This record gives sequence, structure tokens and C-alpha cells, in this order.
Amino acid sequence: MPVPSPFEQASDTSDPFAGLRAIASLRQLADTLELRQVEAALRAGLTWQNIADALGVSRQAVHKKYAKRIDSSIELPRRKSHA
Amino acid sequence: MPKLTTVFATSHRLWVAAMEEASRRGGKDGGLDHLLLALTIDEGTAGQVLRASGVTIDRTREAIAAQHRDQLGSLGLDVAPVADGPIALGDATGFDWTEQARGVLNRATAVGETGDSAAVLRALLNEPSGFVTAVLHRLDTAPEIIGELLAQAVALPAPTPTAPSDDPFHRSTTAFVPATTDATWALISDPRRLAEWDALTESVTPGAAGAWIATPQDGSAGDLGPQHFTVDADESRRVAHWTFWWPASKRRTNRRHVILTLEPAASGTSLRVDATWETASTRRRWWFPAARPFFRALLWFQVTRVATSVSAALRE
Repeated sequence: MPVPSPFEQASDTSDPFAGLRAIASLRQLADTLELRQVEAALRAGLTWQNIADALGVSRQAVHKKYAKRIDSSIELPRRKSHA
Repeated sequence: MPKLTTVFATSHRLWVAAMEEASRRGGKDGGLDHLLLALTIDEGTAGQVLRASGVTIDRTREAIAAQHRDQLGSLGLDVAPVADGPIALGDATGFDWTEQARGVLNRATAVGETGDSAAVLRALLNEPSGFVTAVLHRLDTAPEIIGELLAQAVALPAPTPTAPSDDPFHRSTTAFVPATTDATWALISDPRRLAEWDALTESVTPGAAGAWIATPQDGSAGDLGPQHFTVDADESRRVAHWTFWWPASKRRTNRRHVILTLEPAASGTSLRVDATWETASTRRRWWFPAARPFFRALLWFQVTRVATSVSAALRE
């Protein structure tokens, strides 16, 4: 019996309820990884605009989502420019 | 305890524990998994029922990781779980409940519900996604079994609550610590280990006459200056009496006593925290009656923070 490819496995819709719950796990993983990358980007000196460009969203959207969630020890780009 | 107070105390306790569990993977969202983990270390009926059913924090962490791994595997993704780090003590920046977890908490405080940890567990057992059911199955149990045990435990006559202290400068609380009594005692009786459970302390150095000096974290001292303290540890009774004072403070401060008492409990240790402020004068100021609720709330936060921090330090 041939082993299904990852794409075939991911596209399996025979049990949509379990499939949707798996998507929730995927979203949780993606959110955790995205937060880590955003924090790493800010630590590396990238701006909110750089991060927004990479993620393909607006600067306002990325700022609204992460400004109050990132590690409080990170020096934000705006604060830097005033220093 | 009035329902509003119960709801507030339960929410705060679960919020802190869920935040700490989420912080191990650098997450800022408290989901159903973190709510379940928070309940496994709850001091109340819910935590006791879960632990008695084998739903301990270590086993539950493993079951949750395995469930996520399998769910991702069903999408064709073979990814190792994000590695767990240490608990970030006291960093609440940006943490919030997910919509699913908030829904559970709302159902636990709805009309007719008690709002305590048992009500939260009841609501969690009935959460509609099936995630909690799947995790419990991995732990060789099921929502129906836990629900039945919970109903039996809740039906038992409640222990007579200890009369609250008349002293407005004294509060106490109890908490479950998922570690042996010996390991907990080694932590709470050692002055050099204060920084492990006090988020405001950076390091500890010996001071004069048997006292110790706690160097505060950057920016946390304000005008208080370094905190001096002594520890009187009675190992036979498992009671550690900590006394804190601030000799370099620019404003008047009172000595603070924190008494930590341990008792063995199933799958861990029961920790009681008593906090008292010394008052320099017996004369009460005219505004004191109005400020009394404020002092009680402040002390409640202090004893709760000590209890949750000790528990967090021992469950990395």
C-alpha cells in the first residue's frame, strides 16, 4: 500500500473535526514561532516596518498584535530613535 | 467565601499558573492546555481530584505535547515540539487567555455555578473541541470519570474554614507544590535561594550578625534600597520564618514576616504562607478604617505571590 505524501496527508478531509483541531495546533505553533521571530527581529534592530514587510501585513497590524506581547526587556525601535 | 471573592481568587491563581506554563515555550496565550495544567496544581478540590486520578502536572505536560505532535502529524508535519525553557517568573507582559479558555472560565462563573476551581474543571471537561478529552484519554482516564469523582468530592461536607484573622496586617493562604516535602524545604529554608522564588531579588549576599542582604533586580528597589532579612528554619516542624526589613529606605517602612509551613500531600506538598507586617505604633490613624480593605488586598497579593512563586520554582 503506497504511503500518502505529506501533502496528501495534510489534505485528508475524511475527519474534518479532527482536521480542524489539528489546524488549531498548527496555529498555536505558528503563533509561538512568529512571536519568537518578531522578538529576535526587534533585538537585531529591525523596525516594525521591516517586520511587517517580511510578514506581508501592515505596520499597524504587526504593531497592534505584538507591541504589548513582546519581552519587556526589548528596546523598541521608537524608543531608540528618541534616545 | 462570597462568590465574587471566590471567582477573583480562582481566576488570579489559574491566570498566574497558566501564564507560567505558557512562558516555558515563550508563548503569550493561555489556552485549554495551560488551563488544564494550572488546574493540576490547584490547591482546591479540582486539583485534588485530578492528581488522585493520575493527572499530575508532569504526566499532563507529556500528554499535551504528544497530542499536539499527533495532531500536527495528521497534517503531514513531523516537527519536534518547541523546547521547554524555564518558567519566566513574574513576566506577565502581554499574556492573555485564548477565546476557548475564556469561554470555559465564563461558563464556570455563569449563574448557578460556584466560580471556584471545581466549576472551572467542570466547564473544561465539557469543552467542545475535544482536545481535553483526547489528553485525558492519553492519561488513561476520561472526562466522565473525572466528572464523577469531582461530583463526589464536591458533595462531601466542606472543612470548617479557619476564622479570618482580626489583624488587618496579617493574611495567609495555602498552595499545592508539585515537589517532595524535602525538595520544597531545601528551597524555602535556604536564604541563598531567595532569588529562585522572589522575582524582585537579583542575588543574595551574607550581611552582619547572621542577616542576609538581597540585591534587588534593576529598577525594582525604588526608594527602598536593598532588602535585609533573616531566616529562622525549624526543620523538625518544617516551618521557616523569614523576617525582612529595609534599613536604607528613604521612607518609613515596617518589618515584614513571612512564615512558610510545609505538610506532605498526595503527589506533592501543601505550603501555607502567613504574612504579617509589624506596626510601629498601636495608635491607629483616623483614615485607617477606610484603608483597611486596601491593606488586606495588598497582603493577599503578597501571600499569593509567594505561594505561586515557590510552586513555580519547583516545577521547571
